[in-house]
Amino acid sequence: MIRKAIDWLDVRLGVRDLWEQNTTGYLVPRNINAWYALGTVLLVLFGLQFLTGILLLIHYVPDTEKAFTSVERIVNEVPYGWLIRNLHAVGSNLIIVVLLLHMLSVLFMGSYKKPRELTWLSGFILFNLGLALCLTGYLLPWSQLSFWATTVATDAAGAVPVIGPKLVEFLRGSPSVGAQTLGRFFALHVVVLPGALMGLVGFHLFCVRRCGISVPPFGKDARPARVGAVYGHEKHPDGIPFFPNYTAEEMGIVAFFLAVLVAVTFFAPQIFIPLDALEPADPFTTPEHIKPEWYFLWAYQTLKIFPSKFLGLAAQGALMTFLALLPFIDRGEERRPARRPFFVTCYVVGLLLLVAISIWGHYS
Amino acid sequence: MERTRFEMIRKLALTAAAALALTGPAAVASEGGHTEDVAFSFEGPFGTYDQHQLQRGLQIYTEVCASCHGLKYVPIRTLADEGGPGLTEEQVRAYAEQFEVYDPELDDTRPAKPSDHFPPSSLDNAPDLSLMAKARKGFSGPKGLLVNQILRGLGGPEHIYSILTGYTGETKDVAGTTFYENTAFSTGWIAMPPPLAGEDVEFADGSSNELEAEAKDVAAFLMWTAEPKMMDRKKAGFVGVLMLTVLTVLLYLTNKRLWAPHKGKKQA
Repeated sequence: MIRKAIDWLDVRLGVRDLWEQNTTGYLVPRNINAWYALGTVLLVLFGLQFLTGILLLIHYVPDTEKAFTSVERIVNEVPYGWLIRNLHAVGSNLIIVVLLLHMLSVLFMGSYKKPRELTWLSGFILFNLGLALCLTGYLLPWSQLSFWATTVATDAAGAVPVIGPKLVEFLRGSPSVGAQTLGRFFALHVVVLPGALMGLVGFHLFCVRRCGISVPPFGKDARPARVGAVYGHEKHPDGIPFFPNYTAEEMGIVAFFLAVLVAVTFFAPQIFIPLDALEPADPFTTPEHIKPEWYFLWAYQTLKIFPSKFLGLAAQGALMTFLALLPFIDRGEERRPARRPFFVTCYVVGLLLLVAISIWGHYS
Repeated sequence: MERTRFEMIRKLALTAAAALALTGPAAVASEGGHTEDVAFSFEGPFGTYDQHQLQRGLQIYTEVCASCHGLKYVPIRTLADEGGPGLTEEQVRAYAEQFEVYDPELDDTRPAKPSDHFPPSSLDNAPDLSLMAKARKGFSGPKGLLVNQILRGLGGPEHIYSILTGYTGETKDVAGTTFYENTAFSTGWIAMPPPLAGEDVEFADGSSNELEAEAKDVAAFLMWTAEPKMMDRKKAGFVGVLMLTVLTVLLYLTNKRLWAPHKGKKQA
């Protein structure tokens, strides 16, 4: 019976070939390491955000009068609502952590180089979509934190010359954060951004499969990595099958990250749901400490360091553009870190600088 | 209070944690106010609410706090929930009737039903207390790193306890408003007159009604209103973390065995 069903599907969709091509026939380099599993971790975590997000959507009311009450109702009354809300809030932070780790490992191993420029570029846009999802999702509970963090974040856009004030008004839908802002952030958060994310994830995965996995540039197996070497079955008959070998490794790593997510969600959710998130938004009372989330601290602090907001914003824009276009700028063939001292120095210094500025931002 | 299995594991966990020096000093000054550390039954990864304490706290809230403050996010029926004060359904119905709530359909007030929420604050400047125990903190660990919450919470109920017991008796008048000196309040002067003085309520079970005991009971009750599902969270979390850790280890071992034939071979 099952055989018949598979036969039926095979004639129409070629499922046997599809299965073969993507499991045992999909070869990965013999010296593949754990860092390559972070993409799958992200896929699982985004899946979890979609699931918890849909469940939250059932009870959430995007109205300035009712949003806060509806979130409190989800947390304290809806069965397992506390679990869904906490998973969604903690999960969003974990996604940013894993996104950063994924990008840092790809940078370090030079995997972004030819022919994987589009994989990097789509991944970089995905990272920004992730940040945009965090920013828009932040407003939805309509707490003091939501209201004032969004006020500060949209204010930053005002530093753009000429169109700045217009841009702020466009983002908010009104001169100050209000019902219109909630409406448009809600639409962005539940429809526009997740839709764009899904499409781009599809493209990203297509790129990954099209070019094959990049060979890690480490160990005795590391060869003078040839840029443009595509890892495919024809050239590498000794590759390791993705299924079951690498799948097992990936599942183990996914389980580890889920354990971290669950531990924080259950035992310390208040790390990511601070005090001001428990007071309804009040446009007439500014809370004492308004700090952006940890992943925006570097941006927040650079705006303060530069003599003018515009210069700070320009510097951030230049850095982001540089990173997005890195594979087109850094066209060297070498991928082994030991033979790329200049790159590795910039990498380490840049990372330390980012961490230092973030810590400064936290305590300033 | 009965000693449950969780209670015992909690004691063990706390000892281990103390050894790791994560707990910090006994009383930590928060910004602008002094917060007294109080040992509550619901602290730590295995902490649970004490049903009798919640009932006493409810009584204090009803007889004292409710005259000015509200609990608008709390449905009255949840007083019957397991893990909460655990009133019977008849008790909840009788309890609800003492409040008058506004019903938009009648365009008039009527006695509250268990399905209604507690009334909101009756004074403009008296904040709603539903979430107060989570919206305030007394201490958050070294350098504000929030590690304390894993073991003792962030000191929200401790902050409430400290406010209630922190009056010095000094008053001052500013522009027609009387302020009371309070060592726990951020500015040192609070607009709320001392709500408890000791012996404000009589407990049916004969528990102590001294100021400290009352403050502790009502702080515990307000922690429950802020997070009624806390015990579910901790219990489910314990199982969840355990299961995923075992799964991670099993997958690691599977992975090791699967890769065994490929390790150590040279890549062609």
